[in-house]
Amino acid sequence: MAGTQTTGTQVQPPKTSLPFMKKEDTWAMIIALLLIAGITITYFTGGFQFFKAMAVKVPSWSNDFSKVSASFSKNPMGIITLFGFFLLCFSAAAKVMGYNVKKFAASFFVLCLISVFITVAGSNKFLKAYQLETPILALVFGMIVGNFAKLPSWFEEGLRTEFYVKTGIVLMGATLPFTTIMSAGPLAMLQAGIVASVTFFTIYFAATKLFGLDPRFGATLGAGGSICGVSGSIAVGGACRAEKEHVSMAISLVVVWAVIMIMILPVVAHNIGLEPGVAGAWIGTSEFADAAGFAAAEQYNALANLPAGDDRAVKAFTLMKVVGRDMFVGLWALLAAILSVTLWEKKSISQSERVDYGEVWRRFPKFVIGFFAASIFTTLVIASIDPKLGSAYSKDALGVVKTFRGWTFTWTFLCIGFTTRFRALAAAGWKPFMAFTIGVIVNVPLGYYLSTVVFAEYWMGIK
Amino acid sequence: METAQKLPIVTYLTQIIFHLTLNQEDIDDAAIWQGTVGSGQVRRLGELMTKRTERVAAMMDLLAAAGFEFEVKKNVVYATSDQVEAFEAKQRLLEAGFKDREFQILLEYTRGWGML
Repeated sequence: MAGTQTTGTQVQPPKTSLPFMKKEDTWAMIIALLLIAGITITYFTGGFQFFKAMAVKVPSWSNDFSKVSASFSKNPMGIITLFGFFLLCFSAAAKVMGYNVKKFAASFFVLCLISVFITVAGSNKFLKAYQLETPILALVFGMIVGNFAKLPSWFEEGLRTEFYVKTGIVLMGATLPFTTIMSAGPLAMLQAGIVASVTFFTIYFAATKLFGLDPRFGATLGAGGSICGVSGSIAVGGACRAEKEHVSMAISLVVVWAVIMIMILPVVAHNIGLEPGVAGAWIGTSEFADAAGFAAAEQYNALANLPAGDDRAVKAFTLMKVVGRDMFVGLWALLAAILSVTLWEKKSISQSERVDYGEVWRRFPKFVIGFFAASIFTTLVIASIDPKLGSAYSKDALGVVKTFRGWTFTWTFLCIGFTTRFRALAAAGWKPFMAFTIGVIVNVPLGYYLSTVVFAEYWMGIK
Repeated sequence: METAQKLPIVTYLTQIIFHLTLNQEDIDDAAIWQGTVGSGQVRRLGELMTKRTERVAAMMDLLAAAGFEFEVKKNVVYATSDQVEAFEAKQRLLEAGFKDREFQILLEYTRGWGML
C-alpha cells in the first residue's frame, strides 16, 4: 500500500475494509450524483417534468387542512413517484450492500409514509408556534416510538441514518457553488481546526490527567467530541487500537450529547438572534455528528422562519462540518496511530510498531468526494451556460435537488429518533462522561466566540 | 425477534500483518552488503530470510491458538480475528518475545446499527 513505512513487499489494501460497492458511502454518491446528472440532463434536453413533479413540498397550514389536501390532489402522482423512485434506488443499493431487500423496502415504505405525516404536521402553524418543526417532530416522534415500543425487526432494516444523510450531503454539494467552498473552505478549516484541536486536547488531557483514563480511551473520547462524532471515535479508536468497550462508551457519549445539542443549539441560536450563516457555523463547530448537525441546522432554519431557498445556515453548517472537520479525520487518525505506538507505549520511532500512512486515506469519509463532485459539476454547468439560463437552472433544477435533499434529511431525522435507544447505549461511567462534558463546555463557547466575533463577518455574508 | 437493543454499539476486526520479505532496515542493520559482494553475503541474506519466515510462522502459531484466521497475498500474511482485540493480540505477541517491528496491526471498527 502506498505510504506504508515498510520497504519490503507492497501491502495490499486491508481486507478489514468493506469492498467499495458494499459501502453506504459509495451508494450515497452513486444515487445522488446520478440524480443530479439526470435532473441536469433532462432540464436541458426535456423530461425535467418527471423530476419536477416528484419534488413535492407541503404548504404551511393552520386550521384548514384543505390547503394541504389541495396541494396533494393537484399532483397526486408526485408523492407516489417520489417515494417509488427512492424506494427503487435505495433497494437496489440495499441488495448490493447485502441488506435484506424485502425488509428494507417494506421499512423504507413505512418510513416514507411517516415522513409525510411528520412533514404535514411540521408545516402546521400552530405546532410551529411551539417550535415543533419537522426536524424536531421527526426526532421526537422517532425517539418516543423507538424507546417505548418494540419495533419489528423488518422495520429496523430500513433505519439507515448514515445512508440517508450521506445521500443528502452529496445532494447538498450540488446546491453549494464550488467557488463558495473554495473561498470559505480555508476559513472553515481554520475555525474548525482551532475548535477541534482545542476540544480534542481538552478532552484528552481531562481524561488522562484529571481522571487517569487510558490515553487511547482519552483520544477516542476526544475524537468523538471534536472531530466528527461517532465516525471520529471509530476512526481514531481503530487507529490507536483502543479497546472495544472504550469505543462503545465514546460513541454512547457522542450520541447522547448530539441529541441534546439538536434540542439546544437551534433554540439558543434563534432566541439570541444569530444570523443564519453565523448560526450554521456555530452549529457546525458544536454539533458532534453530521446527521445530528443537519437536524440542528434545519431546525434553526425552521425556527427562524427563513424563506424557502434561504439555505445560509445549512450551507455554513456544511462548510464547517463536512469541509472543515470531516475531511481531516484521516489525519487525526494517523496522529493517534503514531502517538499510540510511540509516546503512549514509551518507544522510539525506530523501536515502535510500523504505522501505515494509508490510515489517512482509509479513514477518509469517501462520501465527501461525492459532495465535492456534485458541487464542481453544477458549478461548471452554470459557468458554461448563459447567465440567464444559469439562474433559471439554479432556481428550477437545483430547487428540485433541494427538495429531494429535504426529504432525505427528514428520513435521516426520523432514523435518528427511531434508532437512538438510550437504554441500549453503554453505561459510560462518570469519568469519561465528565471528560467529555468538559470538552463540551469548552467547545460550545469557543465555537460561539469564533463564529460570532472572530469570523462573524464572513459567516454573516454567506449566501 | 431481533431488536437493536441486542446489537453491539461497534463491531471490530483485528488484522495483523506479517511481511515475509525482509525490510531494508533489517538488511542494513545486518550490514550484509558491506565490503566486496560475494556468495557469502547472499547466504547471509538467505539466513536472515529463513530467520524472518521462522519468526512469522511462530507468530502465526501463537495467533492460530487464539483463533486467528490467515490469508496470504504477495508475500504478506494477514491474520484476522473478530474475537481478539488488537491490544490483546499485541500483548500476546510481545509477551512471547516478539518485537513491535515484526508485525503491523490494523484495527477496523464498524458502527453498530443505529449509531449516528
